[in-house]
Amino acid sequence: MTAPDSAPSVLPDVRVVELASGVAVAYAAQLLGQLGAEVIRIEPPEGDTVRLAGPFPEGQPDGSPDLDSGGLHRYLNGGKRSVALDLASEDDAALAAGLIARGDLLVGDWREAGLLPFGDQDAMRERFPETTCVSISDFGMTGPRAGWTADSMIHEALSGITYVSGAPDREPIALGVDVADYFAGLMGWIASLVALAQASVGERPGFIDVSAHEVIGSSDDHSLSLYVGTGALRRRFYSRVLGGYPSDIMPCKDGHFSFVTPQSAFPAVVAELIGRPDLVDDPLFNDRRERAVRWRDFDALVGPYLRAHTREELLRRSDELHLAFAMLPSVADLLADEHLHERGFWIEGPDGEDVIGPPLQLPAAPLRAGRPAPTLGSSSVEDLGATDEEA
Amino acid sequence: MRFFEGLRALDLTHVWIGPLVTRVLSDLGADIIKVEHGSHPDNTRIAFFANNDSSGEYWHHSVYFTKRNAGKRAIQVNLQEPEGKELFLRLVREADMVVENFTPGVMERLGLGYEALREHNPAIIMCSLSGYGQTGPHSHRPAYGMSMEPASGIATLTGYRGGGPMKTGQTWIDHYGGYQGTGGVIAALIHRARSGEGQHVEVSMQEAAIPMLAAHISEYQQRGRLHEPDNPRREGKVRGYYECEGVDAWVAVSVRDEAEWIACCHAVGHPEWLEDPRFATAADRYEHHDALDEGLAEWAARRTKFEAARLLQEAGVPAAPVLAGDEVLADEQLEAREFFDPLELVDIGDVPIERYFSPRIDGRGVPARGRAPKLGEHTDEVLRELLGLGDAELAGLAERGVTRGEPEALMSPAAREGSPLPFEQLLEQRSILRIDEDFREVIDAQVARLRERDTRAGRER
Repeated sequence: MTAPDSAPSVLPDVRVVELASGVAVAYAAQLLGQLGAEVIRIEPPEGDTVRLAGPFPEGQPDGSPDLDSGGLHRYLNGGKRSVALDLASEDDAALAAGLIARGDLLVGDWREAGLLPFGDQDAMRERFPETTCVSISDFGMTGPRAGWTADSMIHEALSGITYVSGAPDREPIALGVDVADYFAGLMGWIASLVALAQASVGERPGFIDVSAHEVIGSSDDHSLSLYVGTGALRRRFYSRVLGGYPSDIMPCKDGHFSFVTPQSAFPAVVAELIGRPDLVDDPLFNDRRERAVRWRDFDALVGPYLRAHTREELLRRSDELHLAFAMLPSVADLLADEHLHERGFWIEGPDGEDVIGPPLQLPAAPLRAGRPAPTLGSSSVEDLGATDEEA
Repeated sequence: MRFFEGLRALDLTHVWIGPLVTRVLSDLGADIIKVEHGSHPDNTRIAFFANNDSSGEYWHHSVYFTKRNAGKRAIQVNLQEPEGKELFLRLVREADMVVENFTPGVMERLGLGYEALREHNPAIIMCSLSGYGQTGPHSHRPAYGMSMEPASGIATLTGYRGGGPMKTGQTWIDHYGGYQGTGGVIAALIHRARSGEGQHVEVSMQEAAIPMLAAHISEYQQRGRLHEPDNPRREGKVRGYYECEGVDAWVAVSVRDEAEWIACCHAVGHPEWLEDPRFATAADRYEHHDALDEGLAEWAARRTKFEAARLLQEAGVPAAPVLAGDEVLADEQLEAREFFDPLELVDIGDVPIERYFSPRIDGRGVPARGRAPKLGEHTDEVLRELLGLGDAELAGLAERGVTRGEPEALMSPAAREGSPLPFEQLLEQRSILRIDEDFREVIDAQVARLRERDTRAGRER
């Protein structure tokens, strides 16, 4: 569900200037916009990486796609306004400075901001005393790796996720989505909200430095905890929780499903599931350690039942027995998912297609998702309040 | 931070997604009161406990629990008993927020749903985090991070080519959903500061994760195309993991554009690739990826993962060593950025823990404000301070078991015997690479460095 513009919002009087610099920055600004802030996106006249990322509708020439039609752009930039400025030109940089000075927040990557003739953090603070600058970059502004470059796969490798993901006798695996970008975007959004909260009590911060590396690096499950506590070093073993089996994706009659159960109820409920109440006292059922070690024996016991049942049947049984089985929906399945539709998650987009709804619910000040994205440079600086002198 | 000082949350969370929300709020300055009972402790109090040793009060020895609950206070209140429920509702009147991550329906069954809380405190902000949200036909489903990476649609895009869907071995999606909730609570606080109005903030892990699929959704809608796992390749890029010198050592490489491609060819000693028609465009390189993999693997095999990543990065190519847990702890960038802080693990000693609010604000970091609380450590303190209870009342409540319950399920001989992990067998299985006998010295040395750093900066913790 999305909110009409007349509904109350969290940030009705907040103006955000986004200096286009990739997915994380665009997502942070998108979330601020969903909370009701006005978001002005300063983009290079030739389009930025988000506009260029596609995916584009069929039939467009590969070399010169329509920069307003990319799927990533249409989601991440929905509800924003777009100003096309060439920051290398002195005149355009001055116009950008005017926009920034009138913003509550500037969201960007300091490496992009560094292209502006505004100087360092201190100089920015001095020049824009009413604007909090939120930098979201790969490694932050300091440290030996501040100059490194990365995408999500690289961040996953440094975070410890990759080392514990995949089959034990093969190379590790990467996620099929760019999780680090969205993690960093979320933290950029949180940091922006902290800045606005602090500003409301007279303590507006000047400059906030968000590092994608650190945000995803804080997501350790139990690799670091285990090492710190015991000196044991976890490695990938079918992406399993150490000593916990099953916490796996398993095959069934018509594909795969996720086999996860609350541990306390395990022996009785799983024995009941597969119609073998006699196994309730079997060590493979009532001793998780035994199961983790002799997991192939456990598979041999449950495999025939799983292979004889469809995903739908297994989920129905899971619901009855209060297990935590889950489906593995494709994108197409998610778009058709009755649960998501009943919750009103999918919103009807400008062309009648389903578009992504808000990622959380704030009933007293509902989020505004699914709004159309601006065509490149569709707002002029005059529209956005530039003084005659600037324009 | 001033906005958060004086704000108070009652924390009914457990495991990860919920405790992350309240840990961040605590770091920012809010007073967090974790509500448990001996009969229902946060069961991660025994997750991966120190030394794999379940003697003593081992439910206070978990690093996993410590880092998710640092800086909080903990009280015991039995919410299943009418007297405990009443006590909790009196605390709600003194609170600004209630955060919970039970399966939907549990709070209502306890008589503690949002409507009930609001009767006692109209301005209360409640935050509920769950797998599928509070409404809809799947809302009642219990959810774990391990099941939500699949249920969000991400697992169908992850894994080896032709090998079926996979998830990762790190339940990052709990952490992700927790950050979504954290921002939601702060937004609700901003709204309340202006309007005086509370509300029920709701996070569905599934819905929070779907934005990551934006490009895939669009491609399906525009072209009817669904992707299969093809680890770790992506159209338009050159990506791979290449094995290096050392034990289970890999370098990750991801070449995104033309400039990085040119830099990569030179860095790995294959300038002739730039003239090779098989690699002329990004699409050509994707088609002939196997040939590139061969050359990259051969180059990487003669170097350590650290050296390979450094050489590529110096040339401007995105690359990184695939770090194991101990290497993340020792990472020089994280150390330079003050990402770890020393914190007491009860009975065991100090340990390094991660910052959960990692941004620097005007050059200052935001570390945890103290160690994790013992079960019920602050029961009397909190009930005295907030409800004005006296000695006799406190003694009565404890005696009746309302505010005191031994963690009997964890104290039993069977639990103690059954809790340690079978390290020897897991080593043999190779889900554990090795066990460092000298790890305590390594950790102690790191903690000493962190303490010295804090002393130099004039910080006390």
